[in-house]
Amino acid sequence: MRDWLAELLKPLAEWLFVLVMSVPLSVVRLIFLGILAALAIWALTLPPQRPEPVDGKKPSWFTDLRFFAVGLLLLQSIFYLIF
Amino acid sequence: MFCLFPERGLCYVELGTGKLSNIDVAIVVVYLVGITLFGVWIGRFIKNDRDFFLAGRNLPWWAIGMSMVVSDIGALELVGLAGAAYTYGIAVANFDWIGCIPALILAAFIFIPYYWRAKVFTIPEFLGLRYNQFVRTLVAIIWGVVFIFQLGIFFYTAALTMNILCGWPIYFSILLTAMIVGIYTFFGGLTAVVLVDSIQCVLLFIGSLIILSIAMVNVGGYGGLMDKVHAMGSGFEHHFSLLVPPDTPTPFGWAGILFGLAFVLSPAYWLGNQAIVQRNLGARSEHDAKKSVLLGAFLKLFIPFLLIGPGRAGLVLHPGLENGDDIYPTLIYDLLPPGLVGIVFAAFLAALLSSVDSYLNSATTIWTKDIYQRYIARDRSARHYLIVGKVLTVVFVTAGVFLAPLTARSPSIFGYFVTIYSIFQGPLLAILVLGFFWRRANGKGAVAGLALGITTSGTLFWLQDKVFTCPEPYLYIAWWAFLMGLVATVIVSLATKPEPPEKIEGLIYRKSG
Repeated sequence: MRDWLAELLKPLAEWLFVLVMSVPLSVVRLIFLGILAALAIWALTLPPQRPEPVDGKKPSWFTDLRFFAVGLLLLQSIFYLIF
Repeated sequence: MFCLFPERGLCYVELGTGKLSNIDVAIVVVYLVGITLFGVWIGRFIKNDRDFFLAGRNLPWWAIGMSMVVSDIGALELVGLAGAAYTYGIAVANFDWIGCIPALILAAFIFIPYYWRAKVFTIPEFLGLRYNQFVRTLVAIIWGVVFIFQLGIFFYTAALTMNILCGWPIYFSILLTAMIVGIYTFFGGLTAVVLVDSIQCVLLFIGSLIILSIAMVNVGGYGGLMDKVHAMGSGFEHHFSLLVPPDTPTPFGWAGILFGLAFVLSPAYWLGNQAIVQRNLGARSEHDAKKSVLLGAFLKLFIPFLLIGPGRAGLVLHPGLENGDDIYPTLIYDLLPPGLVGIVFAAFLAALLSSVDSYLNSATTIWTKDIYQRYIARDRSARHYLIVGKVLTVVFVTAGVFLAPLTARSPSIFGYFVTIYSIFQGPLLAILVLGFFWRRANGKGAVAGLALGITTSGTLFWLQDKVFTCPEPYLYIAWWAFLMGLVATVIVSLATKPEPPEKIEGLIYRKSG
């Protein structure tokens, strides 16, 4: 049973292995950076993420958590550019 | 020689008296007694089950953020990540970067706010609201059982390091850690867990920074480290790359990292792991809950430098270790003078205790709220469930002690840890994500997704040596289990009746909040 299943899956596994091996590491790096960039753009499109107003005063822009998220993703991208 | 189960040949070698001087012992004792008393003192404020399991929803955001990080970095990561960096290189840093930051940002802005607003105690409870009680129970049993096994892994990891550092017998160390963490979790519940964790986070960062600094000085800085590793030959050419080709003899090839880790295991862990998410449910406000997650993500950026750095330096200082997991305790033993050993050892204990307390508290929460309250004793007083939670805390600590020896059978502790997770994390993520983003997903679909996903991962683990080319292919297995879970949930949901709209109102993601 085990050998039969393995034989069945082996060609698919080998095909996928050859497929991922054909992708250059430079492209892989771009994919990783692209994911981080896409996430940053998505975060910026969210509604403002500020705390509830206290005494009717609207919290200032730097309390908006979206900007912290973008900062984190930027730092993360730098690491993937360096290493 | 110390034998835990001699009939199974499970014995451990005592490695001498270790290097703990009197001052080191004093530091460690003060620390352990201090956190235990602190937990007991917090117990005075715990009056009902909401206090015990969710800290009365009154936790400060900074403590939650610190607690999240330090709960994730157990002794397992201290030993296992340094070991993996020693053996495979910095590709293991992906676990803290791409395998963490994106998922935490999604958690902060999508998942955590919905959990918090639903006022649930557990993730299975949320799935019960979204799907049905059968899904809730199924997921609760999976998590509940895995957490108990995980306690065993944590205890063993700690005992292994204590054996090398102090020469303490394995079983003595297991009992010591079980007793300390058991006491403060028993009395203080989630409040004690999170507040003690925040102290432990500071200690962990200080201790890790000490050993990193001394190790890097010993290898001649980062430049010296690179030169010496490259001089070791072609087998080490990828040791300074985050992205390595899939044919490299490591579990961390880029395809596994991207598909298995970034797309599956990481979101499953940060969005759906009760032991991590539970503290966010105890935040004072929704905004605090989000803020705590982003703080956790910020702190996570530094972890690879602190934990993986010593493993890299260890490759130069102690090349040729048979088991990479030995490198962290070996560095402590070899590099640090008296006093500093005590601080780093206390940091190690901090890492250990912070993980054990989280998993212990979460296991207790799941078994009390999702199983006991649901099936055994409904509509009892809040104090009744508090007492049940405390009793279960004692039961699970004891179970963890007896399960610890199982870990000794795995060649790599870190691999053992993620292997357990990759079996069911993929299918769980599939039903969680579909539940959040697709109204049509229903309870029958979720059950089918779990069943097919877990069957897929079980089968692939069974065939792993015949199908995969890399060692420990858990990242790839997690991906396929997720995919199959997704497909099965979609097909069965489409073939069966949808959930009533009023039932799922407020549980499906909308960008406007």
